[in-house]
This record gives sequence, C-alpha cells and structure tokens, in this order.
Amino acid sequence: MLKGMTRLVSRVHKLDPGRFSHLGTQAPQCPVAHLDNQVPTERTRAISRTLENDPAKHGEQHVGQHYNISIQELKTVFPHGLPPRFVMQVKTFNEACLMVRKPALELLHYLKNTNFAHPAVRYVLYGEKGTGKTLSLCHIIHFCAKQDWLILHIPDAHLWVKNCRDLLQSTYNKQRFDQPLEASIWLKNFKTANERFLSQIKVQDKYVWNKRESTEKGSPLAEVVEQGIMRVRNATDAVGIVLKELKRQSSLGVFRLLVAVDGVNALWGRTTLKREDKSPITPEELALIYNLRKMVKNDWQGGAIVLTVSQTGSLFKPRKAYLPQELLGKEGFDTLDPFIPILVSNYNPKEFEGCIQYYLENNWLQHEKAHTEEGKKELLFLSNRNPGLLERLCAYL
Amino acid sequence: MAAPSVSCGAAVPYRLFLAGRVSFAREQGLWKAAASGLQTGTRCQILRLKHSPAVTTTKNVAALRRESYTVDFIKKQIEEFNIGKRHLANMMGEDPETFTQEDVDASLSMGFSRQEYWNGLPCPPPGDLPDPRDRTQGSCIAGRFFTSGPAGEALTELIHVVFWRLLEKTAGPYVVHLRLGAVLPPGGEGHLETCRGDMCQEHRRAITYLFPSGLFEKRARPIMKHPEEIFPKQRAVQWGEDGRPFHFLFYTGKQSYYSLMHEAYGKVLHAEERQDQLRAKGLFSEKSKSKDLIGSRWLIKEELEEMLVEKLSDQDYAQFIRLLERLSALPCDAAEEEFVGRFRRTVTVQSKKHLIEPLQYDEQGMAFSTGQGKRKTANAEAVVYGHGSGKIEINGVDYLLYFPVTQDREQLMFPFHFLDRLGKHDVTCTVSGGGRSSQAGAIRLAMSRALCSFITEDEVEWMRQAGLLTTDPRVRERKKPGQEGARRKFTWKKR
Repeated sequence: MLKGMTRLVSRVHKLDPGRFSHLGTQAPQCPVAHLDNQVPTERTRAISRTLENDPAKHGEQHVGQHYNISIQELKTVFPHGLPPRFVMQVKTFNEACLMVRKPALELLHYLKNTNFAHPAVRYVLYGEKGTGKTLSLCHIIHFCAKQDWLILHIPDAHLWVKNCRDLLQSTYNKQRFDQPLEASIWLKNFKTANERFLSQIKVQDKYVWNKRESTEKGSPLAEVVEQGIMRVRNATDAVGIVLKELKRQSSLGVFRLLVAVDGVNALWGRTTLKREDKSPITPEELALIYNLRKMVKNDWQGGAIVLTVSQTGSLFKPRKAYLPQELLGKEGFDTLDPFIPILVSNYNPKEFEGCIQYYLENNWLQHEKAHTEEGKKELLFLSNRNPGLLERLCAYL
Repeated sequence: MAAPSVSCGAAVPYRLFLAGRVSFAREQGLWKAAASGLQTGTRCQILRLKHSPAVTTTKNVAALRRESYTVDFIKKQIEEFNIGKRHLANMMGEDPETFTQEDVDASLSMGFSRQEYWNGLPCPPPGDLPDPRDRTQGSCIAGRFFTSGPAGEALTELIHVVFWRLLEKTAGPYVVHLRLGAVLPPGGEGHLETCRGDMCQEHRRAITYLFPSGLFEKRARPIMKHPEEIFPKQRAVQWGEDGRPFHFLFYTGKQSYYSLMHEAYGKVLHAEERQDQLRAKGLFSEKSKSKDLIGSRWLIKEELEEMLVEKLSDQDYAQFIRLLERLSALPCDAAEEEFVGRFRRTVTVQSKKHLIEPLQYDEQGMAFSTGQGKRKTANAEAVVYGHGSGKIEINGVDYLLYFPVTQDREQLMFPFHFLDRLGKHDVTCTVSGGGRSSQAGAIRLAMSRALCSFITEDEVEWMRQAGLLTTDPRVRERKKPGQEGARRKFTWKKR
C-alpha cells in the first residue's frame, strides 16, 4: 500500500511539470485533478510499464511493457548505439524506457544458457524497416552490461563505409586504409563503456607506434586506447589491437565478451569511398572493416556475437530487402553461416496497446481522440503496428 | 399523306420563321391569336404564322443567317420520322407500337443480318450508290418486308426523294428517314402518331448498325432523331403586315415573360379572392401544399428561357419564381396547380442510383465483394472480405511497404474510417498504372465500391455524399502548342 502511495506521489510530481506546461492557468487545480485521474492511469501503467528493471529477470509476462533505465546507466552502457530518435525521446520524456519484446527475450534466453567453452554463437536479428532491431540489440547489451560482460558495440557499421573525409594509407599495411576520425570516436565511446575492464586486461604483445612511442607487453589495455585517442593517426591500429587482444583473451575466460554490430551487412557490401584516382574501395581494404570481420568469425570462445542486418543506411540495396540472404550477399552469408536468425516483426496487439499507453501517460499524444478506441484504431491502421512508423506518426510536426 | 390535324393534341410547339406573304384564312383557324391570352391547354405560345414557299437550301448558302424552316417542312419531317420509326421496328421484327423498349440485341439474335438484308436488295447499299441523282435505278428497296401494294411504288419514289434530298442538305446533321419496308398496318394514315417519342438508345443502336460509318466526327454520322431535337426553335415574326405587333406586350421587349407574369399574378389574385371568400364563409382550412413541392424543383433559368424562347435576366427569373411560390402557398384549385406544375421538374431523391452488387461467397463460406476503381491512369481492383483483421494486401505486398508515404495510407483508411469498420475487413487488391497518389486514389474508390455490398442503403448514400463513390474526373490536361505547358505560357518578353 505504501509503495502504491509513493508511486502515486512520485507520479504526480513527475507529471506536474508536463501538466503545467499544457494547462497553464489551471495550475492550482492540478493536484486535485491528478488524484482523480490516477486511478485509471494505474491500470494503464499496469499494461505499459513494469517495475522490473533488470533485464535478466524479464520474462514472458513482461512482453509489451516498458522498463526503465536510469540516466547514469544510460551514460555508461550506451555512450553510442542508441538510435537518434530514441535519444530525442529520452531527452523529451526525461526517462529511458525500453519495451520488452519477444525476440529480445528469446535472445536473452539463449545468452543465459550459453556454454562458454564452445565457440561463440552468432545471432542475427533481421526484419523489416522500423520493427525494432536496433532497440532489441540495445536491450541485449543492457543485459550483458548488467551481467558484467565486456561490450564491444559498433553502433552502425554503415558509418564506416561511407562519407569518410580523411582516408589515410595504413601505416601497418600499405594496401589498407585508415579512418582516423571514426576510429578515435569509437575508441572514446568504448572507453566510456568499459572503463573497469581496461585496467584489468593486459596486453600480451609489444606494439611500436612510432620511433618514440611503444606499448610494452603486460601493460593495461587502457594505454592502447589512450594512445589511439591521443594520436589520431594511430587510432585505427589501436582499434585493431584492441580487437585482437580481446579476442585472444576472452577465450581464456577472464571475462565474457559480447560483440554487437549493428548493420553488419556493411562489412560485405560495397563502399562509396574512392581512392584519389577515383577507383572504388572494397570493404576489406579498410582496416577497420578488415579487423571487424575477423571479430565476427566464430573462432573464439567465451562470449557471443549478436548482429543486426538492416537496409537503412545500407549502400546499393533495394528498399524492400530485409532478409539476411539479400542484405549480406553471398560472401557475407557464407562467412556468417552458421548463425541463428531471429525475426523481429511488428508489434502484436498487446505490445501496440502498451506503446500507446506509454505515450498517453507521458502526455505525448495530445489529440482528444487519442484516448478513444477510434483514435487507436486509426493509429493502428496507419502504422500497421510498425514501431518505427508509429513513433514517427506520433512525433511532433 | 394526311395533313397534320389539329387533333394532334399534345402539340409540339412550332416556332417557324416564315418570310413572305400572309395567308390568314387557313391559319387563323388553326392557331390562336396571342391577344386573347394564353390557354393552359397548349404549352406554347403559338403566334400567327405566315406561309412561305419551302426554303430549299442551295449549296451556296452562307451559314451566317440562321436557317429558317417552313411549317410544312417541319411537319413533313415529323411524319416521316414517325413512319421511319415504325418501319425500323418492323424491320427489326419488333412491335412498332412499343418499339422504344425493344433491344437491338434481341432483334439481332433473331438472325437478322445487315449483309443479308442489303444483299437482298436489287440496289446496292447507300454507300455504294454512284450518283445520288440517279433515279433510274428502278424501283428500289424491295426488301423482304416489301409488300407491293397500291401505295408501293409511290412510297418508294417518295423514299428516294426524301432520302436523297436530305442527303443534299449541307446544313445540319445528316438525317436519315428511311422507309425500309412498307408493312403499313391497315388504315395507313392512322398510324401517323405525332408522338414525341424520344429516339432512344435502341433506335440509335439500330441506326449505327444499319449504317456503319467510317467518319471520325460523331456528329457527321447518320442519326435518326425527332426533328424537334434537330431543328432549333425559332420565333416567328411578331407583327403583321401593317407593322402592328400581335401581342399587347410587344413593346416591353420580353412579351412572353411579361404575359406569363401577368397570367400568374391574375391567378394569385383569383386565389386570394377565393381564400377571402372561404374565410368569410368560415370554411377556410389550412391545407398543406408541401406534398406537391417535395420531390420536384423549379425550372432553372435556362429551362425557362427555352420554354419562352426569350432571354431573361436573373432578376426576372427570381421575380417569377417568387410569384409562383406565392401562388403555391395559397390554396389552389386543380387548374392553378396544373399551372404551377408546368414549371416544376421532378428530382430523384437519390440522384445517383447505381447497382449494388450482392455479396459473393467463396469456398470457405467467407463473404466477399469486388470493386473497381480508376484515378488518372491508374486502375485498381479490390476484393474486400467480410471478416478480417484490417490487413490490406496490394499486388502481393503489404500496404505498409507498398505505400511508405502516410498520405497514401490515409487515403486507404478513409472508407473504413468513415464507416467505422476499421479492423473488420481484409482486402486484397491489384493496381497498375499511374503514380503513387493516383494508385492510392484508385484503390480507395475500388474499396468503397466493394464495401457497398456490406452496408445499408443509407450508408451508401452517405458515402456518395462524402465523395467516396465518385470517380475523380480530373486527368492531365494536354499541353497546347505555343505554350510551355497546359496553362503556363512562355516567358513574355517586352522586346
């Protein structure tokens, strides 16, 4: 009972700023009105929210409900990797709530039962545009972070194969190209996400950066990362080193490694980058991609590989393609084979209802008809229960 | 040929311009002088007419001056038209009395063949005749139906004359009055009904079948219509030989209009007088007149102008309607009601009655219905199933993928949302042609039409009023030469 009361009160306080901004002159009457309205919202919250904030404890009964991630956790676990629209939503609502959905639950189940002695299993999340692949991936990452895994998260592999301003010839291998900017950004975020591991893991080789700098064997990985961040020219090599070391050492069982790549079909597609003589560059000539490919091979143990294939952001792929075979191409499919495909589809009715209730609670849907059944049916029809489209429909103009 | 008698009662108003000498003796008996006021019996204002010899147009006539037709000429046209209609009916093998209802298809199924018919003739079909004036080609149209009677030869001679003389006419459409056979019922002249039968669809189809024409201009092809529809109505001369006008209101400029107003006002006064008398006697009772006025509308200005053969202004028309409404508000007797009735036209309550397909059932017993729709160049066909979850599949693809734009999906939503049936039907459709927006519009129309089978009549009417059942007539306007686009002109340069 007390818990209910505190929830009510906290809810009122939370809603007050929003209410004030919308109701303006009726401010003094708000609290009274609130308490009357709270009873129905209690019920709706039962549909749309759950108090279970630990992904490990999510089960079938939580499907369609949102769980909260605190802002501090968000900063550590997701320095990068959340879809930009979701980031805007988090900023608007002042809270980060992810919906629990079936594909994520399935994956969680597999991850909970992984045998770390076996080679890493590859899971591929696929589905039509806007169905929630990236957010499911984020759910998994949150789970693994809570379970104290080391997260290797590449937010969007497509960003590495297009729109690169500065391509340097790699110092390590003359045939390959470096992308200092992308590599350094990624290193920064990687550091934020996995601070505590970087001091523990020790490098097992000596790496010479240039005439004056080198990293000795046995020094912590943090040094390599620092080197990459400070000396942007060596960032790509630093990334390569990090990947190599992690792969090597996760098999030893010191830590569990989660490799999460969003848009993995970029690794085997085409790039829009060109050399100075205007000839196109294939992905394997990019050092970052080359090293990443090695990472997603399942020749290491002690972790899992969760991948997403997406058409959004992909290059030279038709809009309607969403199957792994179509998006990865022959080469990619053969490399990734065998993998476990997980289909992410549109909301089912319960999830849809939960999403609408979540928006209503946050006073996001301001139309009078949004509360009514007809309004919901309209939204259902127009979006056909596609999460991405629903979000865009409900967005501000 | 019998002269048209006065007994052709439902007389067609003749307004024929005749130049030339007056011959009063014959005419006065037939037509009433306008000065005595209009009778309600005839619908027209028949004015004193003059005779003149028939105007035969020569080939050199400039078409600047309006064609003037003689009374006789028009009357003869009408007779011939009616006779021709009867003979067409006979030829088709149908009952002449009720030919308007018979279908050409039915007659075709009786084995009537155009080729056979023409082949049975000694003279070739009209298209092959070398010289129109060559009348030496004997006696003509001796068809299967030809009965040689005493009237036979004269008739056929007349046929030729009529036929070819009409062919010579340069002005006006190419009118065919063809006596195709001579199965005259006994008591020949009696069948000259001057019924104003409209030449309906079946006649027209019969004519296009018998006289196939390769001309592109549809208006140049043979037609068979009542002369009323072909020859335009004209006013007769309004004054006598001495220059005095016949009508007392001639100098108002709009004599028919003012005389009509005069008459109507006279009726209004009469009705008010009667009303006062009834009130005085105490027998006055409120009678509702709304019964007559429902389901009909007043004549529009154009129709009134056509009736009076006079130009009116908007104010005149409004004044007249106000007067008639005043008259209809008073208790009237039958004559006055009939007078008012002349100026009302019926209006169908549901102006658009289109067929509503019955529901069909497939093997599983699920009710479904099909509909077709068009918009610009897109064609769509939709199959709406009775029970479903709101899934729509277009060309095998889900509608979300086929129409990524929200606007198109809103168009698809409109019919269901309007009828509050948003998740109750499944739809499968195919669409081709056009662009994104026109395909969406075409599918919307097809779905609405298919949905008509599932809903009540009232809802169909609401949908029609909402515009869901109307094909959008807008198509791309053609680009004109000398302009950059359909409307846009080239940039104007001063020099």
